Amino acid sequence: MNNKEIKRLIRSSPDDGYRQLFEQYHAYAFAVIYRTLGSKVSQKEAEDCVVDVFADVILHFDTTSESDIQSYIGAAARNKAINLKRAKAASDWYTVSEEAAGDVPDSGTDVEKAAENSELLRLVLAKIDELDEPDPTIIIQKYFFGRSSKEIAQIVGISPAAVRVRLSRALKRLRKELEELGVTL
Amino acid sequence: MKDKKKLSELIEAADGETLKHIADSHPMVSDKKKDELCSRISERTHLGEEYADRISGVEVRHGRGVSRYVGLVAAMALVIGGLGGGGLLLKQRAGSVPSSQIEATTEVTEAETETEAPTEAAELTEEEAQAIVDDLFEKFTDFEKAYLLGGIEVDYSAPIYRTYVPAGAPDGFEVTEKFYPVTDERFRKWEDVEAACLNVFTEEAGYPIIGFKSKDEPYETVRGIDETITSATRQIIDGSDWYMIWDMKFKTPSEWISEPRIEITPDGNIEACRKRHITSIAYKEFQNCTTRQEYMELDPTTLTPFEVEEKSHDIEEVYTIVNTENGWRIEKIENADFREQEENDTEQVDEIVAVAEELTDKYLEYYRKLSGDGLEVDTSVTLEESETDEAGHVYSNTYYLITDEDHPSDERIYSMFSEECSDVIKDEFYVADADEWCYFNASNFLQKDESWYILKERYENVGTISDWKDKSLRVEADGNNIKAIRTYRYSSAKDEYDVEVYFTIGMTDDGWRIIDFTKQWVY
Repeated sequence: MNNKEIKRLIRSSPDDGYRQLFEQYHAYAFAVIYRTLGSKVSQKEAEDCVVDVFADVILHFDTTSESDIQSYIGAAARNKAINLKRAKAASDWYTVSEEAAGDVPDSGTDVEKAAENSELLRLVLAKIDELDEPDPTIIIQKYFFGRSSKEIAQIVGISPAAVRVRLSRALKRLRKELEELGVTL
Repeated sequence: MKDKKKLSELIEAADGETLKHIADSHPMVSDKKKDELCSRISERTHLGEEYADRISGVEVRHGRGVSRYVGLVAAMALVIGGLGGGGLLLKQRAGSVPSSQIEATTEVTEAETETEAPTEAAELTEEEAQAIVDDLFEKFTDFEKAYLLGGIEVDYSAPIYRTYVPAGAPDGFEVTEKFYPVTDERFRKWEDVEAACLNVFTEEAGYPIIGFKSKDEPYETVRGIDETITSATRQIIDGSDWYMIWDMKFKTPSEWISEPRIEITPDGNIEACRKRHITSIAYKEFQNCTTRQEYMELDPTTLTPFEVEEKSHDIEEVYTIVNTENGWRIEKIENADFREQEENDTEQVDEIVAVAEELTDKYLEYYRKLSGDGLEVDTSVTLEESETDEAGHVYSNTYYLITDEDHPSDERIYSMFSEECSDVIKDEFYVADADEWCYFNASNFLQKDESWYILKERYENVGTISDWKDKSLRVEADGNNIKAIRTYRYSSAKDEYDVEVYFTIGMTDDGWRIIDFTKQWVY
């Protein structure tokens, strides 16, 4: 279901429409939150953020507008994550810089670096996808969603120890293959 | 860790489309979890809450700043002060019998030679302590009956009135109070009251009871420091004459119901614990009164008292008696229950600190070993491990034999970390589970043939982790958990910085364990 269809469904049947919206974008919201907060966020905190994001969408997003709902969710998720990060920083449990909290790099050098990193990430993701399952899932869950070995073990159906070993091996292999392409990870 | 850091940097650069692609390609939450989250969203949106800048789950942590962490000593003081209460228990009395029922037997202003301070410090015998306590309790009882419990004789037929405007009162508001001239021979002057009080109490304890002179009032008065203190009455001092306001709070007698238990403290003071029965008395005429002004219009000579049974109770007090330059005096009266609570609180604080110290000490020792710092290793004994997986990829590593008895075993991990936290540690250092990975693994540590090995790369690139910095421990009770912060210094050929470690310690089925920790690097 595309975004226009989701908007139409929300207008005609809000409960169904918002459920569909959640199904389609909850993982994206999680990914944005984890990208912003890294491993510093707990599963509970990430879930709280996601709840806030979708509550925000329901309360504030105008489904009759031409606005892109994915962008809105991405921005809302990022803002919630930044607020959480700042709240943590305010409590001195973590430190956070404005640059780290923000989304758009503000200098030319940072823009170039971000573009370079973005390109590198695509390459890495492509190489991760080439790995045999469950290694891609383990790496993605570990680094993109901040899951512990125990949580990943439940997803992929092997022991936490096996997750750790597979992760270690997969990273070695990934590194080796990237090195062959001149990329040091 | 190097891989993780690099990959994390790349992830931070991920754009929306990349993230959407990743999110769509990999399962994030179970259907059950999705239902739960949708239910929460539904509840949230139907409650009509304002979301603008609010994030649920954040507020809980918002106040947990380091500012709430205080030094160890201060933390103990805060806990004790907050929970214990204490102070003069005179606050808990409610009144006394009318003066006509008091039989004065003691000239309280007379010097009592037997309680004079000894000229030389000498160890107190039990007999001497007993004599001091008996004498002070007698004087205390007399003073309480005569003054604190309203036993002072006044002339109810010749009241005087004073009107004043309380600070901050609205225009036109004023209070008129009625005072009776004191006719009691024992307390002809206000100084007699002071002398009687200071014959029992130290100055620090005594003046709050009889009151401080106030220069802010339109007429000279003294008042107690707190309305809840029964002695907090008001007087007018006019030269040698003085007048006392009549107050219904002055109407509850008490009686000793136990002999004092005496203890000589290590610092030479005396602690006497004694139980008394306090009987509350109300006045029928007051039952329908609701304002203080109405009380003033009643005639205390015609009131009919009756006992309020439900408010009568026994109370056990601990009197701290100290030797002053004027002799032995009561310095403090504490509710024995509060005191016990204070002692329990102190013990609890001690336990919290001890737990935090022990576990964080173990953590640092263990963390060093995990990093390879100080780990005893026999580099002459190497282990070459390699394996080819199903895809034909070859993995090889060189390990050194660990000879250190305190090697980072599973057993040690679980002795200080919760199970969940142990997994995080294992993730960070790739510590294999001994029972599953006894032959080969790709970890920094591995176990083979009952021996433990450390990855050569790990061991050879280790930095130095200092001891915890002096006085860096800050501890706070947080619900059922303990929060602790400690700082160590990391040094390597390339870098040097402090690391603050924030611990959350919780009670698990296996006892106190570190259930979470985060680090903050301070360059």
